[in-house]
Amino acid sequence: MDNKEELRWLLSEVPNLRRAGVLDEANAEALEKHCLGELDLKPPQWRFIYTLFFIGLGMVAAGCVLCVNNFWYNLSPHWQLAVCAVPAVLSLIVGMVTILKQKTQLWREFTAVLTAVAFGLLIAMPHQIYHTIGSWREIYVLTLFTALPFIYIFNSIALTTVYVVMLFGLSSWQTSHPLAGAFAALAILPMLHIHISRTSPDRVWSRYLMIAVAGFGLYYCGFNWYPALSALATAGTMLYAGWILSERNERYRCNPWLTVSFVSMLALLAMASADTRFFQIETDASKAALWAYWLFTGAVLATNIRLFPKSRLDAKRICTGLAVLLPLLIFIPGVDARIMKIVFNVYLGVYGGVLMLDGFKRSRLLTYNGGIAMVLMLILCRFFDTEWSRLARSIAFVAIGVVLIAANFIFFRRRFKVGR
Amino acid sequence: MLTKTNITRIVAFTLVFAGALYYPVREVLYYECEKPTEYRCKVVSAELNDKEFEIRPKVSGRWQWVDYIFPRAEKANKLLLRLRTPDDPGAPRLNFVYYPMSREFAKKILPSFRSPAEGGNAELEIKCYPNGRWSIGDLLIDGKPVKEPKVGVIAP
Repeated sequence: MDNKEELRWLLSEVPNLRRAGVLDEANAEALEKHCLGELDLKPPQWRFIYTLFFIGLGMVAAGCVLCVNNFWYNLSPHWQLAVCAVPAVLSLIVGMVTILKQKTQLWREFTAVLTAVAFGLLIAMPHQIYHTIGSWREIYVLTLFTALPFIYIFNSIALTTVYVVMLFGLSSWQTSHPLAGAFAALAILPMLHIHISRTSPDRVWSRYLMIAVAGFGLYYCGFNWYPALSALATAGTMLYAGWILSERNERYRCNPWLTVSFVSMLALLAMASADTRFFQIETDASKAALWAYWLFTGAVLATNIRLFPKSRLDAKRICTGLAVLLPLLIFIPGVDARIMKIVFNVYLGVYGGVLMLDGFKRSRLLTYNGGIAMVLMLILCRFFDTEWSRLARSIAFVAIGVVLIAANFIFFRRRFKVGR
Repeated sequence: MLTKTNITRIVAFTLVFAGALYYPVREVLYYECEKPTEYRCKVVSAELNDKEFEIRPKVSGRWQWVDYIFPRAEKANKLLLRLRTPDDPGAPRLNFVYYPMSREFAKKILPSFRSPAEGGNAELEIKCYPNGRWSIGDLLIDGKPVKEPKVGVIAP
């Protein structure tokens, strides 16, 4: 039997079948053994044993830390250094065993995290031991970059998660070098790409991590020069990727790109259509900041170009592609932020209309609702910032509301007909 | 098992491991092999932060907020020394430092502190390392270092 879901279901049914008398004790045991063997699973008792093992391991580690803490100031600096080196030596041994004995994924995750923690300790502790005021930023950046090769060597998704969370720590120091953040974000992308593109069991989690890395890159590098381009390019690229997954009928919770990118795109287009400051270009950016900007934006644009031919070429995709290209209009002589604002007002309306039409044609409620959300956002923004009289606004609202109700009615009638 | 992939992994792991040792070893060598420049800073005053906790009401608008301050958690076992740094251009500019010691010992030695105006002569050694870092050395009262006996060590 190939389907593991069905095997799991069968396994869960064994106790019921035994109670009902359909299976006797020997047959139930044989069936359970067979299913577990096929699934390559341990019996449920193993989970309890594992849990107890890890709780015990945690308590032993905590006890050792407390014991060392008690005697810490009675040790000479050399002994203190020796104690700090113990986890590193342990990680070396465990690392060798993990590689040579080709241990399981759980072992690899444990080894990667242990090695990274051991080196974090070894980097930070000399300052504590010699009572010098170490640079916290230096320690943090070094620990982060030291963890990176261990992620790849042990193919560890747990350490990748820790790394991605730690990336955000870089943004808390204004003095951090702009390129350090750009390299830190770009360096983890191949690992995430490997997990996402292959049939890895961690591919869904890697998609969530990719959103975090994109968010960090945008915050750290994307605002250094022309935020409109980097932000719209990131949202557009992620939207492409989300659509590709959606066409493969990926489940909703397994496709976080679609929701996040659509909401971001909606917010960005609303800002672009409402405020000329959205198109401001940072003129005082340093050379390093510009490099960081183009490294990030270049990577995003390259991904966008790579994804574009993978999906079906229709009005929806061309419109999304325009979101990436339209910010470049500002570099045409004579085009200023006011004209850009008008362009994005038109674009938001057209994009919403295209999505509604596409959803209507293909009877896809999600796309249709996306289009409605875009049109509503445009109306809402203009309701607050246009200087029409109250009567004119009320008439406009009633008219648009009637159109929306009619469009919804037609859409559901069509879906009903198609369904019948 | 020594497959080709495993050999590559082991080589990569060993190289990365050795490379990652560079920074801690370099730092330790700085502190162990290079002789630091020592400066003596005059101790203007010494205070013990022995507040257990403090509840400070703060009225903002119509809401009354209460700040809970637990200096014991942050600055326990530390003596606050206000300093006057020497005029040497290489000396670090320090206004105050927290000197680590136990609460009991700090209470014991605190009465022996007198400000320079009262004729006291308390100094704090500051060690400056070639890598630009500095650390606190001995605390000297009338030229004699103040050493806290180590807790838990049984005298022979």
